[in-house]
Amino acid sequence: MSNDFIWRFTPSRTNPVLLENVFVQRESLLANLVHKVEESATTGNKHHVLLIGPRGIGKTHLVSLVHHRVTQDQRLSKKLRIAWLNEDETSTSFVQLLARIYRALAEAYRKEFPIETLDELLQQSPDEVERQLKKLLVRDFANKTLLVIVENLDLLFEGLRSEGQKQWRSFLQEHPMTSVIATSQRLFSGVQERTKPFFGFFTPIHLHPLTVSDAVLLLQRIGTENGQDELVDYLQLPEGRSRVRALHHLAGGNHRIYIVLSGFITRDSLEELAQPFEKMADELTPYYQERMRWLSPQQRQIVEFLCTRPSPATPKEIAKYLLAAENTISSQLKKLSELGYVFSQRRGRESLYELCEPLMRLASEVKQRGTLRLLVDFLRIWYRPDRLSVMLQEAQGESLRAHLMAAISACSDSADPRLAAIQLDIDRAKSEGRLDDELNALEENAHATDKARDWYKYGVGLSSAGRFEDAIDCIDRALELVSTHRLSGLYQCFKGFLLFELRAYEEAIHCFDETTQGFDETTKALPEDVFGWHGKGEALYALQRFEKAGDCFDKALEIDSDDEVIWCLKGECLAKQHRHEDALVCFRKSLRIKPDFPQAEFALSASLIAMEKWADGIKLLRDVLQRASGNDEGEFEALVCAVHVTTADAKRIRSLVNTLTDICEKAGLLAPLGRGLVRSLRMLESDPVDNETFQRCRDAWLEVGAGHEELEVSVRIYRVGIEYLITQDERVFLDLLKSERTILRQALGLDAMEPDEREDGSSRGHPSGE
Amino acid sequence: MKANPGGRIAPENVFGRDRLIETIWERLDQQCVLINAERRIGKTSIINKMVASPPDKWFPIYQDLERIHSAADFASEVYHVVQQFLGKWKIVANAAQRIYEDHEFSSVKKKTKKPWKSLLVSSIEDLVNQQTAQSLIMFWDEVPYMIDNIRKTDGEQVAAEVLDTLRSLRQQHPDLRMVFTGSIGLHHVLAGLHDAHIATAPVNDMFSVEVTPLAPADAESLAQQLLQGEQLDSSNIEDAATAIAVEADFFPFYIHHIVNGLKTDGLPAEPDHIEQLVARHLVDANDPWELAHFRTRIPIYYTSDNDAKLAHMILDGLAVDSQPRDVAALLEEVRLKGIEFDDRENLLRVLRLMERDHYLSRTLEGEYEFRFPLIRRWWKLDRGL
Repeated sequence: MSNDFIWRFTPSRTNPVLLENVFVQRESLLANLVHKVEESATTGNKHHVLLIGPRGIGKTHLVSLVHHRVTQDQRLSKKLRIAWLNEDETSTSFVQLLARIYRALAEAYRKEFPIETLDELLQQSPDEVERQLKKLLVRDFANKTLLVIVENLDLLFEGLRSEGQKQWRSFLQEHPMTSVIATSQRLFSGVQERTKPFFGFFTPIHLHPLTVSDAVLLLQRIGTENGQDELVDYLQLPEGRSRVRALHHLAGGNHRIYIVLSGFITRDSLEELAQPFEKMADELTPYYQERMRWLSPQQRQIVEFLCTRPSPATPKEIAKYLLAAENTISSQLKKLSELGYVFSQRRGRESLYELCEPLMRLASEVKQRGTLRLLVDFLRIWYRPDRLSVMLQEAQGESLRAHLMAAISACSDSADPRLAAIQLDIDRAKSEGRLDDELNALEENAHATDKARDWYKYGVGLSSAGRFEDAIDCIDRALELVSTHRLSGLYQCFKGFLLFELRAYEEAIHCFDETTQGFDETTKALPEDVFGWHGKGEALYALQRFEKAGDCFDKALEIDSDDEVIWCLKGECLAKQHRHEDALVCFRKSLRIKPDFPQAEFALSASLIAMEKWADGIKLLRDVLQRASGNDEGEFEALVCAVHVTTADAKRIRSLVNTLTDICEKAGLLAPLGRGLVRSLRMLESDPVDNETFQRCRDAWLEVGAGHEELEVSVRIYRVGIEYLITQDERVFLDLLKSERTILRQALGLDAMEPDEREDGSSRGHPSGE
Repeated sequence: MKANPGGRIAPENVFGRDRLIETIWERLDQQCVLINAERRIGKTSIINKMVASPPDKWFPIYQDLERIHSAADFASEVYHVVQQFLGKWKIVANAAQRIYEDHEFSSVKKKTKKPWKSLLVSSIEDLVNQQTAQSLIMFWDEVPYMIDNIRKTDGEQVAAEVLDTLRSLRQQHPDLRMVFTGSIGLHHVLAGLHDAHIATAPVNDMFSVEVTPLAPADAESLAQQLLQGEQLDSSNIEDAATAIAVEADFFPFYIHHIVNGLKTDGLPAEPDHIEQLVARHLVDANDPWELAHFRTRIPIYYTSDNDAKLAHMILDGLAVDSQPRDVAALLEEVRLKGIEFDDRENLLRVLRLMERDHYLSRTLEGEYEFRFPLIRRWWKLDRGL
């Protein structure tokens, strides 16, 4: 990579291959833009696009790549000519714009657009030049398309004024041979206001800043360009990523700053880079000073204040500093937001404001002639304190030494900036529901602090993403680091629930035992103790050890007797042991605590049915199904089981199955009923039902299921399941499709692999969890 | 075909307008046509398609008049475009050219009182006279804007004279055809002239054509073409196209916007994404669908304070409750707002204007409702109702 690359990064003058290699984030947008140009060149459709974003967001980079890809396409070379206008030139009339376009064409296509033609035309009056140029262009583009690339469209419009804009608009309208790709730092009145000629003309595309992941990728690609494999690998690690995250808070996702900062990251010596960094800041100063002049005095004050802040600020904080009324500041911030100077992010109920263009902060600091905080912060983020000290010893240049000393001083004065950045991103990602981003930040945080609490939080995050095994690894690390017994108990309890999710019930029980072992009557019970007994009870229930499960729930209820869930679970344990009278007591207690609790209502109705109190049971079932969502699938399983155990009479069985199906159909819950039917096979395996009853139940479901398409598959699986329960011969499974056999195996708790898939060829596996 | 909201659509890609175009050409056999269309409904695309593929007997010339601010500008523009076409038949000298040069239209010097009129008439006549097998048809886009601009620059009298001159040309040259299009109602501009006590009925010889949104099937076809052109993922492209067409109220511009939005945001074309995208666009502060003009033009169209206030009340009332209302109900609603208002005739007048301006339409029972459900939805959000 060229020495000039880093601080003189001018995309329009950079080797396009390099541009391609370091391009991130916008591949699909680039492809879309190229397709639009293609369509404009090969059909009568003409696209006009306006790319919008602050300085350094990558507009020119993107436009350069469009130009590059389009010019590489041989197919387009016959149909397209590109006039890429020099962004520093001003036009104050339409005829000047036409001349600029012609000059740009002459530069790119000398033979086709001889500059001498323009020189000759320019001898005439402006009106005549305009007429002739229009005629010339219309003639030359009779069978081709002209692509005009113009940057800083707002400045062009300012120069053209209303008259020039109207003329251009009419020319584009009347001679549909042109497509325009333009850039601008913001949406401006020339394209936004209804009364303006170009209102609605362009398709605006707002460019977004880099995300942390994009920034990592950008730096990796730059590293690859420089052959720095170590750096590329380092950036994959949480530590590398967390450093980039902290940089991201400095750079605000601004491409230009990353390009510049990459120079520091990818070089061994920083000596020759501090000065170019300051030079870049110097070059930006006039532009930002001009931008500040557009603002009212109070707005300028607000922006200046934000330039001094390392982090976003609330309107209240700003008002306090500026000794102004908060509502006035809020109103000004709204205007500044509309003008593109600041943007806001929500944090809970608060809005926090920060600069849209972090480079503005840089330009502000240059005026002060001290160290550049941006550079100091970068050094502090990227290098460990011990490394900074070594670098200080090696540094020669005064400027670099000053910055290194400031960075070392800052390290001792304040907390690691990475942590603040990470926490901010965790909060944002959480409030915006971006789980993946939240997990990345949690991971970085855990690695950065290596504290038990942070590993635990990461584990909790992973569990909400369903990554239970990874979550267990985190909890194990937390358990290694934890210092108190209480926290250890809490983490063990959580691990237990994770293992429960993975159906590793025995291991889960072990964890729950760790949680509860400290509890006895003399010790004050803690909330996690309830969880521990609850969790153990659930694990034992899953292993069908209902009596022991019930004992655990009793323990939990001794600590907290107002938990409707535990009362209900205890009742279910009792119901499984056919102690329905006792079960009813528990269900009713649960419903007294929480009357609207479908799980308890389902279970209660199942027990009523099992006790042959059909009328009460069915009535309750009807009521609860009217309110049910179909999410309570365990309850359907219980209901189906209740039918099996309540009677052996074929007619009664058929009547109950009919009633159950009818109720579920009316509630739109046939599909959950079907699933419950299949799951009930697991219970039936351990329930003492005779073969005849099995057959009657099977026949009843076959008869009723025949009339309901939604039950067709479930009934088929159920039938084969019953046949297996009667014959204990897995060959009956062959009546089913493979996917259906898998479902049945799971329902029966058999080995997931089929006999011919097992190495030992055994014909029956062991139920899981035992 | 890629989504291209605001861009130029090639004539061959203009969907669902063949029947309308056929009707317009048939009408043009008899008389000139005035095309009135709501913004973003596709009238310029229709005109472009007509200009690109006219029947053999017609020689079309298209001009966009939005930028014209004075009668002299208009005459000059017409002159120049005519010169281009006259050049094709190698006519060296013509009356218009002499007038143009004599009056130095490129500068401010004028030697007669109304050189623009002479230039305009001569330009058209020069071209008409040169046509043999074909008849000249001028497609003039955004005529109301131009007339309004001329009114502001040169005064009501001159604005009326421009229209009268064009009418006179039509009468003198029976084979000459003009097609005026406008997204602001010409009736508003004429009302302005009438208010200045200028009695003129300059377009009563023209047949008025209303461009409506696309038929549902055509809107769905367009949406489907765009979805395919953008290669968006979709579990059911027909369902997605239907959802887009309905959400866009069958306006081609909004259909383009929706597909473009899906593409830009990297979303699959699924009904729920489409619905959410439209909801976001309707409340986007940047107003990508350019709907704010439905609000901002009210004080411009309805210049009296009372009319503007009344228009707001009517729209607010109809936005909140999607049920159509009859005049009596609307009158009652206005009274309930505590406004001193008891003039049924005045209410009717404003309602009729609002109908002509595409805010409202009437059911077969004579009740009023928002003409476009999309606009009702936006109005309700915009006004915080």
